[in-house]
Amino acid sequence: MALLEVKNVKKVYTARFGAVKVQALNNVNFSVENGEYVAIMGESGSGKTTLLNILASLDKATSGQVLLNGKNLSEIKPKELCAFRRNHLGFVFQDFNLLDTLSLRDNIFLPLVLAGTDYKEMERRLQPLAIKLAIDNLLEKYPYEVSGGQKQRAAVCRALITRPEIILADEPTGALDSKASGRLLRLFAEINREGQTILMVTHSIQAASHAGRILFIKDGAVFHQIYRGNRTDDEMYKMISDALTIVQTNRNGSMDSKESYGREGEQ
Amino acid sequence: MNHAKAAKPVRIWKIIPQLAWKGMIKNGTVYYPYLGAGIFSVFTFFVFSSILHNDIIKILPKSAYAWIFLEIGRVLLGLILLPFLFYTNSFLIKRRKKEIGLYNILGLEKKHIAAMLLAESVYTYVMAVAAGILGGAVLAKLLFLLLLKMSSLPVDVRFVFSPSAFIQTAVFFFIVYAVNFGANLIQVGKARPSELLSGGKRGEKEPRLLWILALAGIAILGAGYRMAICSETDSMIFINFFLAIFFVVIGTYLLMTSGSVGVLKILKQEKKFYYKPSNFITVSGMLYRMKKNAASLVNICIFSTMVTITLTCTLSLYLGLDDMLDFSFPFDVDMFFQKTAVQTGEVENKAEELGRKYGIKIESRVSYERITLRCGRKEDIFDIAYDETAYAGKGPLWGNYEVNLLLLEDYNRMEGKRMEGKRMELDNHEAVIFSSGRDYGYDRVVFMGNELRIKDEPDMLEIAPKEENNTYLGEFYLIVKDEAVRDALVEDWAEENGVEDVEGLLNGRYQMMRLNTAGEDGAREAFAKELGEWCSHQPGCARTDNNLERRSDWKAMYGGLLFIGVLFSIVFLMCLLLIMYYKQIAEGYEDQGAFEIMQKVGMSNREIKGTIHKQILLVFFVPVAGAVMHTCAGLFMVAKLFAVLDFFDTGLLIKCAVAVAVIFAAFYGGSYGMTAKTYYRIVSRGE
Repeated sequence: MALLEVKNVKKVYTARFGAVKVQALNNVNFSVENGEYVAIMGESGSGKTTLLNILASLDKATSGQVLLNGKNLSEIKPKELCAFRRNHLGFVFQDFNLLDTLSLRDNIFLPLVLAGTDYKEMERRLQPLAIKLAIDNLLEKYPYEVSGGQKQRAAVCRALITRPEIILADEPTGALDSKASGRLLRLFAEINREGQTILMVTHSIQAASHAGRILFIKDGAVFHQIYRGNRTDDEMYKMISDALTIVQTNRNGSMDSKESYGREGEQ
Repeated sequence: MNHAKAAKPVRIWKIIPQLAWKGMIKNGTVYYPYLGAGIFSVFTFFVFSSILHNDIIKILPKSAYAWIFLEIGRVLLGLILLPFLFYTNSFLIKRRKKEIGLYNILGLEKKHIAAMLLAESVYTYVMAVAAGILGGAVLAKLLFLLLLKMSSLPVDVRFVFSPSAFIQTAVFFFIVYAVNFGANLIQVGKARPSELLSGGKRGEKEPRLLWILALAGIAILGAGYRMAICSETDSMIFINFFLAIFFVVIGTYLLMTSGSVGVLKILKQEKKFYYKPSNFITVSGMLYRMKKNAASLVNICIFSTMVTITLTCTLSLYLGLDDMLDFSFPFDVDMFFQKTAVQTGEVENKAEELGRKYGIKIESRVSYERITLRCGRKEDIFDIAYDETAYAGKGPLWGNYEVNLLLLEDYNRMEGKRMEGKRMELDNHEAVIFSSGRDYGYDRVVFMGNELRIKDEPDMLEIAPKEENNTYLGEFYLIVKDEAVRDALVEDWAEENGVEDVEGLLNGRYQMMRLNTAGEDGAREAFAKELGEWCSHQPGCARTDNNLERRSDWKAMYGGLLFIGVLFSIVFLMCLLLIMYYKQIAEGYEDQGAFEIMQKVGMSNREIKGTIHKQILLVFFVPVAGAVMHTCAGLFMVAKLFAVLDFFDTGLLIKCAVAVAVIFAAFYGGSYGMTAKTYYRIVSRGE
């Protein structure tokens, strides 16, 4: 059974007085296996942020199902939703979302504190992670005292420390320079190799080229996907940019083109 | 083309008034309270001014005190309102920096922004002055009647609005808003758009030398408390009073700043405590803005103290007024005659006759001989009075008292009823002593070197009431056997003080004739007046005191004080509410982002409420605890100040303080709950 299953998910935004309806997601289907590293790509307005919000249980689908380990997200009671998010999902955001009031250490501890974890256990989990993410000597610093890359690594640490089933990353390199981006992406690949499932939304080809599978979203539906197979990052980079050209130039977005290119990609 | 080019700048200028108006409405949550505070300030100021400008208040008999207190009140009001509105405004402009930065980036030049700020200031000024004066015009007459009622002044007078009240109010608040506008200009002018856009994210630095600050705070606060509790009622009391206030304010500031930071740091070290969901966010948030936090704690504490003390004074003065007047004026009429010239029988007959004429009863009547000598006293020794400027007397440790020498004969006659018919017997070396203040307590008195044994110290006299706390105006009554003993004492006093004309001194002694009346008020007053008038033409009349008249003088004075007390309590309460409200709102907006992040990471609404609850507990408890302590220390001071006004009922004062504290705590708790709700609404917006 897949770790994450997205079945026939639709999302319709209705304006306050119901006159205008906007279809943000139009029948999205895909699944993520345990230990996979999936990137979702698409242009602005393609619906990828909506999709991520639904996966993160921050938003509810109008119809369809999202199952995490077989559990339907829409069936979780609102009261338990926060705890569910905390215990099963890890988040990495484009703008880091670290609290200026807390040191990096305390920012990382935040989800564990909210879950009522014992202090010693928190420390025990933090040490190896901090070393791996190379922030072990920055833990007492405050977010406004460190660089963007360091902030994002702390945010990754915060996401990992709860040992989530899946990490949801929203444009994690969006606010980083290319050097810091490269470092972060290598880290993602490394933790993925250690078995962490990652789902990342991005429009950076460089970011996506590290993933094991890339889903292309257009007009609220999965339009195309690429599997890595045995390709190197550079080969992936080339394939993704070719695929994007097709996605972006294909104005009618028919299933045919998706199928044909998809098969070609899997050859 | 040219036409279009010329039109463009004109259009920017045109939209500015609108932009200002919309900006105010959009920031309603922070703007309306500011406007409200302005309206209330104008209202209060205008009411004071228009009462002051009613000629009637100057012409009314006995209203001079009320008028003086109103004038003092108005000056104080100005002194409080100016910094307060300034503080509120500076909060507003900080909130709006981002919006103004955006306008700047979108193409409004600095001069346009200045114009926009000017437009806002003009709107606020016009609205505040218009609404405040309108409200004042409606209610001023009512408040004026209240003042007259409180002062027991005749109520049937016409109330007129004087143009100068309008003008003074308008001018004063023009200055206030002009100052605020200037401050806004400076704030916006010195900042670059990028700075305007990004609010400061950096946490506040911990104050250095925390321990020294804490120790200094404790020392200064302690000095202020000591001054309030220990200072004696003497000519220094007002200076001490203000010094004590000054010390307490400074000490509170230092101690609360260093104390709150220190406590928070310790709490942070305590891992078990710190890493609990609600403590975690609260403690780190408060440390992040520790100085601002401490400043608002101090402000809330000081204003709470001012509210409770003002209300306590007002309430106890109101309830204790009649007792105070009874103490100050035990008799309705006091007549001072020269003993050698007076014909007591005639005076008594005249009093009887006038009593019948006015249909009143003469209740208690006393007549006795008295010589009053000023002495310095230390324990049981009475010597020359201490005089700093003339280097006379033994030194400043000697308290100065009036000593009234009375004769045993008069004493036995007047106090017979109290002594149940028994007579006091004294020999040449014995005396009876009575203190109108603290008990004398010694078994002898050494008066200018003459030792007299104290045979009795009565708890009360018919002719003078006694109060333990009456330390400032305390007098002694020394009753001796006969004229020979007394004259010897007077001669020694004269010798010590270098008075040569002992004969004159003795001949100038008074025959005191005092009486009380019962009956209809108007008739009593007319009686007292005519009796006084008649006495002044009698041989040997030194002076007459119409105490009924003096009573109403005092009532008018206290009425003015009470009126000011009530209004000032309301003003302080308003300031306090706004400070609390703005503190919560400011923090709400600052924390909005943080709570958003925490919700994303997995914090539920319930946990948010828990955090807020924790914060409220801490922030609620600390200033109130401080205010209670300050009020306790302040009560000592108030008791002493009140003693100068002949208010000695400490029990009443404490009861009033407790009642005020309880009501205030309930009120404070309620309003804190309300502002906390606003805070919750702000941080959980979007959920």
